[in-house]
Amino acid sequence: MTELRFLAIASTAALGATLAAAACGGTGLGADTRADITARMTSVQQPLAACYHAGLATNRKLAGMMVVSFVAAPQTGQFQEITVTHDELGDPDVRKCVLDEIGKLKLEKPQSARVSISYPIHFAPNQ
Amino acid sequence: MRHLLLGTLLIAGTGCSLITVQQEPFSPLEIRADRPPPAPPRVVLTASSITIGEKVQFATGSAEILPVSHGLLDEVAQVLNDNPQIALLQVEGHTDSTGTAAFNRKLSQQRAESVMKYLAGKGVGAGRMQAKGFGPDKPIADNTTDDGKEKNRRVEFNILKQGPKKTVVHDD
Repeated sequence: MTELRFLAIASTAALGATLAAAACGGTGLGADTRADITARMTSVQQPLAACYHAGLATNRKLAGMMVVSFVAAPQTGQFQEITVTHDELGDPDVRKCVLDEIGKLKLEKPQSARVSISYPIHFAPNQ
Repeated sequence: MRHLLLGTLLIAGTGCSLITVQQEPFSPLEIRADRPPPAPPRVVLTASSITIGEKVQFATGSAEILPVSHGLLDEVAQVLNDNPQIALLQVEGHTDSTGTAAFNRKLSQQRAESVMKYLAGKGVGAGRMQAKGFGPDKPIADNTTDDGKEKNRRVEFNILKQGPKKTVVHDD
């Protein structure tokens, strides 16, 4: 059920970007770029876990989905214009911490065009 | 729908410059962390007392309970209200040895009464409590050190009389 909800949230965001891109003549992500983005996001799993752990200290029930949208800048690949478009945690400190961590990232293989991304993150406590 | 609109605005905001967008959603990045251990309870019911993990704070030289201690005393009241088998609780006030014993006994008595009054205001029957100020007569630490004096200035809750605890058995 939870995964279905993730899919719905992420799909809606991705569809919106796709339709807008079609209207503007944009192109889709290549497999290499997708892999690059996934690798960059995976590289901050530990820092994001630290953000989440700090949030759990004040709210032991903190859990849920957060969707971050951002742009990888052309030429540099720097992640910027980072916003949270969906947040089930509702903890401003965790949100800021997540945004700060993602803001440190950049694509390993920058593209010539801006790359618009919407990325879901699921936070759950260890059992 | 909100995400759809956001995506549209995101692209529109770029002025339709060359842009690459994702067409398939990414799988969620899974973030896991351990919950920190739960904080130890501040108020614990034992066989002969109610122990508190913090001190009841009073205004200097006065029996006025500081607001910072209201939450703690609310928890004590909750324990008493949840445990009607506690028939008689002695609220005890203790001081360090600074000043005259007579003054300290009087102040500790006033402080114990102040705590009792606060608990009564939270629904604890006044007949279930009595206040006793011991002044410096029952130290638990060395009164020649600041640390020891700090420990000696305290409020204790000792159970003088209690009946058997009622056990509620639910049908389901």
